[in-house]
Amino acid sequence: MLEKSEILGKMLDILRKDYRGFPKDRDENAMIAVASFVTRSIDSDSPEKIAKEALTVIHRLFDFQYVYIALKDKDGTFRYVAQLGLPKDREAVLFNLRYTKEDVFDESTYPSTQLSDLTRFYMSESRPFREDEIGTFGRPAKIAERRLSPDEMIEADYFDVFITDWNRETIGWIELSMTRSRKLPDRTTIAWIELIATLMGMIISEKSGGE
Amino acid sequence: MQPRMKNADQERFLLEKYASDRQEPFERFLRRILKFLNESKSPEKDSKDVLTEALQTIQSFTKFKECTIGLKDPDGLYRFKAMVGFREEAMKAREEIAYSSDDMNDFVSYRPVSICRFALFHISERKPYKPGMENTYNNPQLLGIPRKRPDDMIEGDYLEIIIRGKNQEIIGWIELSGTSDGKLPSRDEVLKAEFFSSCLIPVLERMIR
Repeated sequence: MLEKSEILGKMLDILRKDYRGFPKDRDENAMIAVASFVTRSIDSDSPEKIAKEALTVIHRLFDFQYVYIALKDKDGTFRYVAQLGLPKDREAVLFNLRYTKEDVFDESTYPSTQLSDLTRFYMSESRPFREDEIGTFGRPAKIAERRLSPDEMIEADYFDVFITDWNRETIGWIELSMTRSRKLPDRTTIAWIELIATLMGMIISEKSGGE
Repeated sequence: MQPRMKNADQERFLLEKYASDRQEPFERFLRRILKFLNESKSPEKDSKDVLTEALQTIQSFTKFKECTIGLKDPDGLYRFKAMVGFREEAMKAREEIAYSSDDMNDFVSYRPVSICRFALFHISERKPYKPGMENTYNNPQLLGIPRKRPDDMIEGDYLEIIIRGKNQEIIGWIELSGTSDGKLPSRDEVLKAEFFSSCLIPVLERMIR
């Protein structure tokens, strides 16, 4: 039978040791990274800086080679404000593109498969791009390549995860393409990106007037 | 330009992979947070509804039965705003408490143990309450009863998560106690509760500003 003081001592050992330590897997790592992202973003004064912070977190934690973020501009159009993966000499092509809300959801130009309220997948086979967007893909020469298995991610496949404000209006999106493993990401990865997009939307829209 | 043709087989594969109900274990936790954040945007809900749902969200992925959340008020004092799992008298007693900024930053008087980045564990033996506050507990008659095993969670033990907003200012806190099996929470539960408290920051910032 342990003495009262021994029990308390052992309990203190549990409290001081069992909850600490290095993250044991990707999801524990992601919890720390996304929590830090929220803390930094809440103090940030610019949506572009918040977008860059989000890019860094996504690029570091997940398997995507190309991550782009577009946000709604003051004139109501959408434009890419941050990217990771694309060489600098092609970044200007991406940053010069502009879209109206109608462009963004135009299924005749960008046929998509809706996976959830926030996420759509754009399949390479349906050529979901305009001619002036071809330069924004990592390896444009590979665009017509055949998919060898349904779980393969090929050039010109991409996901858009939409960023919404407090009124659930679209204020941007996170675009993800080409995994390093060349496999489609798992479901938890998509849920993580949706959570980052949701937190971003809340923080950015609160700073720009609370809508 | 080639025609824009959807591949029907590929589309079926995608919907089965991503849009079916077969959620991965950690995905279920993330989807629960997403559901909470999305519903917190609803204009029909007042702040008490939202905070109560935040506590119910914590209950859904931990074994804590008693959960409270407090916020900073415009007068600069901190008060409990929502509670779940408490008896009526305990809730009333908590509603009457107002903590000053000094109280919130006092990590010495009650001698909590820092167990994670933002989580503090208050130990019953150290009497983590002011005299007269015993009635804020569900079972005050059990305060002072000795702990039998080191991993027991007893009356008077609670986990506190401090929530910091802009400029690192404390904007609120969560207290969790009374586990369903009477044991200390697992590392997984504490990390998830801590992470969820970070996801609450934009919601609470909007509430208090």
